[in-house]
Amino acid sequence: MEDRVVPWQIGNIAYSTHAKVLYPPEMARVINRAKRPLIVVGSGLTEKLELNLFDYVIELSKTRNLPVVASGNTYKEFIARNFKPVAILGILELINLIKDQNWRGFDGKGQYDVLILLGIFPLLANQALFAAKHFASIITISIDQHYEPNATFSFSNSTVEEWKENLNELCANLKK
Amino acid sequence: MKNSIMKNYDKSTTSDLLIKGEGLEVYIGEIAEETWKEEKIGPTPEPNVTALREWDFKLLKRYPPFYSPVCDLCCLCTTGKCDLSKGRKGACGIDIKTQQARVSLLTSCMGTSAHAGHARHLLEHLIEKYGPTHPIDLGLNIEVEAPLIRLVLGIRPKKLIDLRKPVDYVEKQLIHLMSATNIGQEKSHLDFESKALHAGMLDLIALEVADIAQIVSLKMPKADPEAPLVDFGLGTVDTSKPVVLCIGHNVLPAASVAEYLEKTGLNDRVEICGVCCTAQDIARINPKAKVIGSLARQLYAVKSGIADVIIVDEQCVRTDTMEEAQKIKSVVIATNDKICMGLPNRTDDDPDKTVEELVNGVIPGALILDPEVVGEVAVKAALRLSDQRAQFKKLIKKEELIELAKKCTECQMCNRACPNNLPVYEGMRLAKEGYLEKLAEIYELCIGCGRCEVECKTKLPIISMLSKAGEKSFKDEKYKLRCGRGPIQDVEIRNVGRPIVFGEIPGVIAFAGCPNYPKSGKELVEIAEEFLKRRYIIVATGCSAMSLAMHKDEEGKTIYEKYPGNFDAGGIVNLGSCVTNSHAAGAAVKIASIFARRPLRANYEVISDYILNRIGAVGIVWGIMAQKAFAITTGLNRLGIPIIFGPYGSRFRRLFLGRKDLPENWEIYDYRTKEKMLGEPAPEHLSCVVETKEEAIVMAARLCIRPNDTAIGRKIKLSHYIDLSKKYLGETPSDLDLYVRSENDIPITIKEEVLQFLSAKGWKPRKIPLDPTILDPAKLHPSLLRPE
Ligand code: SF4
Ligand code: SF4
Ligand code: SF4
Repeated sequence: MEDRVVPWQIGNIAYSTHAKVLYPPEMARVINRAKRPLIVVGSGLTEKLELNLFDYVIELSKTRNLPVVASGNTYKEFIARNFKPVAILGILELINLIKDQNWRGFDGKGQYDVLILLGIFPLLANQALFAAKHFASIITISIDQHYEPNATFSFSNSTVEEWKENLNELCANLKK
Repeated sequence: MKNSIMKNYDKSTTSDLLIKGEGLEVYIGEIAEETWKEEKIGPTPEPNVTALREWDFKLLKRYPPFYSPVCDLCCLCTTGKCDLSKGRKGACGIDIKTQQARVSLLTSCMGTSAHAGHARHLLEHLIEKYGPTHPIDLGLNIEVEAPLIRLVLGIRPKKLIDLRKPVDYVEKQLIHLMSATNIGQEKSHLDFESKALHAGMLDLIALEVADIAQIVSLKMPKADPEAPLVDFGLGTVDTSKPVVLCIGHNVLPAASVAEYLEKTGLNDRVEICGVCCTAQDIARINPKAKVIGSLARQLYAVKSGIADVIIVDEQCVRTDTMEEAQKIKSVVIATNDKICMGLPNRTDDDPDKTVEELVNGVIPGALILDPEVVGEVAVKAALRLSDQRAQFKKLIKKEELIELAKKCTECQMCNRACPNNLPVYEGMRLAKEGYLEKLAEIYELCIGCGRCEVECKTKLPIISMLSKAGEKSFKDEKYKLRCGRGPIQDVEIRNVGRPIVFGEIPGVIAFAGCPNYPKSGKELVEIAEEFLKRRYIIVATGCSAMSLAMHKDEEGKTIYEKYPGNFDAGGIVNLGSCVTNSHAAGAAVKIASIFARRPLRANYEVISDYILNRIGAVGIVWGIMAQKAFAITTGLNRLGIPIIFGPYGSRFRRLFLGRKDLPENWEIYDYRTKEKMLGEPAPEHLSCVVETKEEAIVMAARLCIRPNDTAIGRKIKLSHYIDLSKKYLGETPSDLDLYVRSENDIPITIKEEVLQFLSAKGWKPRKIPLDPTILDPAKLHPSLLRPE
């Protein structure tokens, strides 16, 4: 078993299968290799407007033309920035689609292979990733500030400054 | 009655002889059911575990269970722990999905047991006190007194003792359900879920028994839309007086305090207040009682030190109540066999002797199982303790708070412990400099779990610090709550049945559940008010009903002061404590039976099918903590009522999610023509989770859509759905084409816009079932649909 990073929320322990911590360049490699990556974002973006996470997600999306699902209450803010997410959908409803191998995606071209999560209410992200871990065959990547044990890959716990650096480095390493 | 509630019941169980009091009261026979001649018994009286399996499977096919485990492991037997991740099976052969379904059944059974235990305790006490033949009279305007009992058992209870049969039935069924969770029993996740749905149905029966029994015996409001407005909030308690604080769900001990105060003329000398559902219910008996608030305020109320005596009854009582009470030198009286707290049993002792022991610290608390004794002991002890405890009734001083904050080591463990990610550490940092605003903000958002305090290695009294910081709102916590009115009148059902079923009243939205909200409870008020302005009917119960009272508008009015309390468009109805969730379900059943005249008696499938396809009702359970809430929602699901959970709902592991992208999942019959046709995803889910209030609002509008809506009704529902989606999410709903059956459904004012949207989607009109059902018409005997 790999070395374990302590989850940020102290109750979230005792998993047998837990996320591997990746540094931004390694994470970028996973995303660069993906054939059909998808981003999903949640209410954390609207709560931390001062961090400009909307602009960040738009930039991230533009690198590889990654579709974005607007969960929580995020769609409006994207539209205000002239960016159109591919769907408005709750995170668990999205995972419900992702766990069905026959689902053809939002564009009808097939199931996604990598799901990148940012800003979902932590407890809910945790549950969504639990469902994905057990019932979907997708690689999940958490790029939130704190370690997310149920993802396939996650950043480790960090300060806001470190996290922003991680985010920027991830973006810089994505293929244009 | 002393220790004897359950003993007496054991002796007289379903027998036909019951002796009461000193004189002899003999009651022969329990339910004279044969008097119900007008309505033929339906196909499923007292359904056993598998009797409604076919109905469940219909629901489960449309709404397959979606699982989000909370652990990779199973640790339910000694061979484990078993790792069920990555497709592994446990030593007993179970996989992760089936294990989740098993836990779903377990959770449902836990909740149902709690309610059934409550119902039994209450009922037996009330039978003993008021007599077995005490009539079930819910007021002039209620003939269908127990819609759920009629529906499930096929009986019409007339007297208190008639309520025994439903409780007997629930208890027996529960044993079979629990037995299926033992190792080596049920194998299929769908069958586990069918059983969980069965448990949910039983839960609602238990709730109905409990509330009917207490309304008819304890003089609670009987379906009164103008039930009194009562004082609500921590700030309403006069702490200069002796204070008795009641916590829990079973109103009997609190009722005995109220009775004792009345009897001894001490009403104005002693404050009686409550937290959680006991508070709601005591206010239904004594409008002078103060309702402090929901479960989220329990720890705050106890730690505030205002209570001289703390009475706990059952359910939702914090396990550390005794420990916390000792810190503030309050005494605790446990009153129920479910919560004895290790305390010495003083039920049969002389009350004055017990008071003496409590006041002198000989015992920290007492177990008193006879509610009639509790009132006397609690009041006498509070009167004696109040003065000597004065020092504990104060908040800490601002200077003390700042000094304490200075001890904070900034380890951030409090933040990491907080289930809502509240920035306690940041609050402490600012408090060191004398700025308390951040901590005050946290007080507003805190769900009172106390985990931060447990984790703090410096042992800072974080809750007390938050109370001080939030002092202004703490003191200002004075609101008006309309006290629980109990069931909906038959006449109200007659008035709204048609507009609801045809869709002209766009929906009924019921707020239920616990107060562990993802953010402020104010969001609940915002959601409710959005729908009230749009003339939906709002129903509320339990802690949600209390949270709805916890905010005032600019004019200082709470939502209960602004909107009427009747079950009609634009009305907000506080039904009462958690047990009144049965009346929310009962109202839906009554619409089918009173307005649509569907035979009700033991006709579960037909009635549920009616509700699913015609009654635009949806529950919003914005917080959920207790297993009981899971059982309630599962029971509503079986009846065809969808539920929207806040984020915490995902932690109960199971949802019933529909797939609107798969048209074949939505096939429906038209009973009139017996034709099978493609239907619409209405309602889309049977239970789902959303992250934000914006999503909840739009989801609620969507889940109110039903196949039976008339074109006028559908126009109204769609205009709200479109408008709310634009307002809160920023766009016309992308699934709009699925809900427009013909051009007649399109709201006139936005017809052009909608037509454009539809043409881009390649939309075509489709057939509308005149008499929509998911039951196979070939198997439906007409007598099940129309009274003979
Ligand atoms: S019940 Fe089954 S899965 Fe659970 S611990 Fe026992 S053997 Fe393992
Ligand atoms: S008591 Fe309040 S602040 Fe503390 S952990 Fe619980 S919710 Fe968070
Ligand atoms: S846990 Fe206690 S010491 Fe640590 S940051 Fe929080 S309040 Fe300060």
